[in-house]
Amino acid sequence: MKKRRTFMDEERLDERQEQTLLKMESKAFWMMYVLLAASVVIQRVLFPSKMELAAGEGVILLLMSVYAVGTSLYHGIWDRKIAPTRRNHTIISTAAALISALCVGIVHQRAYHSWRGTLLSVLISAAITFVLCLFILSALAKIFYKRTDAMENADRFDRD
Amino acid sequence: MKNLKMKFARMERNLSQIELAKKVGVTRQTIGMIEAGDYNPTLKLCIAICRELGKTLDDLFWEEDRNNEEEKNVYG
Repeated sequence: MKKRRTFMDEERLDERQEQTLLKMESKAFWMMYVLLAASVVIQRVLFPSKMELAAGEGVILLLMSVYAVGTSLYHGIWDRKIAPTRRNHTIISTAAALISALCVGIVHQRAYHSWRGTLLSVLISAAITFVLCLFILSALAKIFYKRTDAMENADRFDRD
Repeated sequence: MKNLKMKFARMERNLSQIELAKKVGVTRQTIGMIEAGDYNPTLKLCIAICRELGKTLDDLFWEEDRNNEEEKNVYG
């Protein structure tokens, strides 16, 4: 039976155009990711009591993150420049803790105007973020190493 | 770096960029960019171009390393 043609049957791009399109899509993805993250942070800082305001963006951001991390790990890719080492995990976790502390500090100070309370909440949020971030990065690195080992074993037959 | 070898091979066959592009299934701009040295084609496209122009990969895409050339001059 003859297959019916639809309006998007043909491959219309050559390899150079395909590569250019992929680069553009990648840039668009990361721009959207950063802008969404910024919008979530700004909304949470400006309107801390209205969690539902940033809920949509938060869910999209979470799904994008899970997809990006999941597919990267599946293909045995960690990052272009940063290696999955304990030192790097610590640096990234510290940066995340500082950002989290800054946001919580601003929110707390705007709401309660108490330096002692702000300091306490900043310390607690920084500690929780640091530990959580370090734990997640370490767990993901373990999965990454397992995956790369599996990929190594899968093509060992070809190398022997 | 410009790929003049490919340009001359195409001209030897009296093919325009558009004709070669149609034969290998890419756009005219892609052929222009390969000849201008602005795009590195995949091996698949290199082979398709070589087949159309009746040349080998070495003929069109191999660039002699300057150090190798100097070695050849010294030892050859």
